[in-house]
Amino acid sequence: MAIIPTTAPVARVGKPGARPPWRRPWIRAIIWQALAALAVAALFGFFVLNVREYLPRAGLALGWDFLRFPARFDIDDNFIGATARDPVWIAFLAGTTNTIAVSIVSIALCTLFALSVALARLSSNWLLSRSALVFIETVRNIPLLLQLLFWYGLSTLFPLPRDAWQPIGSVFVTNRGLFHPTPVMTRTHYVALLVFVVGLAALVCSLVRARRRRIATGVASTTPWLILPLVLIAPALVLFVSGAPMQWDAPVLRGFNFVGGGTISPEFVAVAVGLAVYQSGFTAETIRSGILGVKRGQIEAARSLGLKPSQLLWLVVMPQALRIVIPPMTSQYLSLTKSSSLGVIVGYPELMRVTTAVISETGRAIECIAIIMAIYLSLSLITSTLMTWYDRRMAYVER
Amino acid sequence: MSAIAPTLPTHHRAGGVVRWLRANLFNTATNSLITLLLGAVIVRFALGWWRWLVTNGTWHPADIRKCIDAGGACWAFLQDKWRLILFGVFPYDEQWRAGVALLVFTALVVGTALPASWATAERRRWLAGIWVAAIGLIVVLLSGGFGLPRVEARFWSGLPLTVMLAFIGMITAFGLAVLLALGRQSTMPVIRWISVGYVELVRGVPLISLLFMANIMLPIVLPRDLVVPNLMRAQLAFILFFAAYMAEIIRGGLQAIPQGQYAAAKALGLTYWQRMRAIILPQAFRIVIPSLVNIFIAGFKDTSLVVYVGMTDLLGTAQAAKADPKWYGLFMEAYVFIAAIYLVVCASMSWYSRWLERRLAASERRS
Repeated sequence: MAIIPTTAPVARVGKPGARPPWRRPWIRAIIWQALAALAVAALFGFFVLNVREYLPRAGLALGWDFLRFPARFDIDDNFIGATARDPVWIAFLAGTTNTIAVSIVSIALCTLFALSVALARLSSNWLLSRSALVFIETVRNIPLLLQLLFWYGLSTLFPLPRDAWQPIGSVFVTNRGLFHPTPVMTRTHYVALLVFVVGLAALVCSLVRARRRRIATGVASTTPWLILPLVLIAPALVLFVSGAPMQWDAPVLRGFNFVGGGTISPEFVAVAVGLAVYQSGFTAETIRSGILGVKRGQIEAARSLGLKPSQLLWLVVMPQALRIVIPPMTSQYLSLTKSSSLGVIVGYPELMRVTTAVISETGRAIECIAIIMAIYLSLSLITSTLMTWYDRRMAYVER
Repeated sequence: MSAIAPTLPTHHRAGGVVRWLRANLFNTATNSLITLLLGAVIVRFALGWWRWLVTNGTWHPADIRKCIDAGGACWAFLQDKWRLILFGVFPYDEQWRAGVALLVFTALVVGTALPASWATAERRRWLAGIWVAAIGLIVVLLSGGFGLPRVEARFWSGLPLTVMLAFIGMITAFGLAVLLALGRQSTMPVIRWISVGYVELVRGVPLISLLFMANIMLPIVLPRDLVVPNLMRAQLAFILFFAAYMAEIIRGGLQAIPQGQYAAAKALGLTYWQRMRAIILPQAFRIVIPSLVNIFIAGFKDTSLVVYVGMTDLLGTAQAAKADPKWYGLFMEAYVFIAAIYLVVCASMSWYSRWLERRLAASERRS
């Protein structure tokens, strides 16, 4: 039944040129795309023109030479020992290390908190489950920045250095931070450390080989258990034979503050703990949904095999839940890393704070913003690449 | 850990109090122990708060010495500062206007949240009209005119500023996000690249760096005589940031729609924009409402970041209140006060989103 009321539309489609060119889909697509590209290019061109007009007015020129100038500001709390005399790029490096350090500590804490809270939320104990819910709802609904300021504010309630709280040995807790002794490292200590690392590497290798052998033949290897004591004994032996004394550099109160030893600053603790607590509210819910996402049949099968409840949780439920949980957790940890930039407001010298200092010191706003954007983007990229790799390793192998 | 059930625990409800207690709190030895230990911790925690808030709390008239000696919450501090915290530097005698504006806005949002308000087409028209009128009223209240003294935008601060940044930011970001999501789904490569590039770039950097960039770079990349006020720069950074996140959520909704819907809409001979407006987007929005509300909550909380670019939103005013030398050293009272405000607003949003989700699911089942 080819009932076509009029033949005209059909003829129009069939005959090329009957439709004006600008009505044809492929031509329209080209026009739209050209317009979009042009709009973006025009916007950037407009920016560039204005920047070129701005630079001479501000007495600036674009370039990376400022990275080699001395930074002229101190970074209170950094892992690489950068000082005000070091060049600007060292300051950026110190800021980046601080960002990474505080993120790693915070991610570890967050995982710990989140796992506990998720398990508590799933508990058959009503009180425990409800307490976990209250925790989750509270930390998720209060701004992170407010929580960071709260944790930082708490640190001001600690005693002054002169009446420091001394929990054990030469450890002092004050409102300026936690002061702890550090071991004095000599060449022998470094050798012992090296021996320890080599032993650890050997242990990991043998564990991997043993696992491969177990999967292939079903025979458990005992080699790792032989290497394990060596990892600890060998470095101890090095220290013993060389007779290296164990010396500690202990913090001592001098004037208004402690000198010597190591310090964990209140800013670091506030950012690490604040980020971890805030993020754990979200991560706990992710882990919980991951655990609930494990198929019921798996649990029933494990039960009928006679596994104990703890075995059921750690050998059957958790490994499978992990696979569900990894993608959302990746993005949560990424957002934690990015949120560590809020440390700038409580005064932790992470990347944002260093950048602010560099800009106020050199006036090179454009270059500095390009640098932090590039660093944050590559941090995001590295994390997501690592997580994708891990995710692929953990993926289901159907047999 | 025998207390962990690998399924969502179903706490027993039937029976008397004793049976309930035995079933949910004392069913095994481990659980009894957990209940007792946790109960003790909770009681201590609650007692500590009670002591801080009530027993040792100091009310007006008092000064900081008296508060510190009492060792509890310094309510006198809040009594002195609550108007500063809520309304910031809004002229003191005109602060009732900001308060009324907040109330009008709250009523508007609560009214709109009720599904009965948008049940029929006629009511939806009414609702749109009411919105326009109410927004006009709020603008007049905040900025003046019609016999009210003028208040410049730089005096807007505190809770009204937080609400405004969040509301305008979210609405505008939503519009941009729809375009970005459609762009990312587009068959035209250039449009797709632009959308993907934008979304990934913005999602890779922290909000605070965008705020910072808007604050420092905008004056550089714009012509000299075009001065963008502080408020608008922060607002812009906010919109650009959240648009990228919303775009990803909307894209998820677009992908969840069966291909048949796209094909059927095309077969009807609808143009691209007709298809999107009438067929695809309404269904996509419905799917992503819960995630969108989560982004709204995140946006409301993240307005607090504007303190970094020197604006006094609710958190900024709390910081200002605690900086007063008269009350030097106090911070808990101000933080607890604004934390309670954030908590109530965000928790009601998330509660509403869950309720709406259940309701939509129920209507889905019926049809």
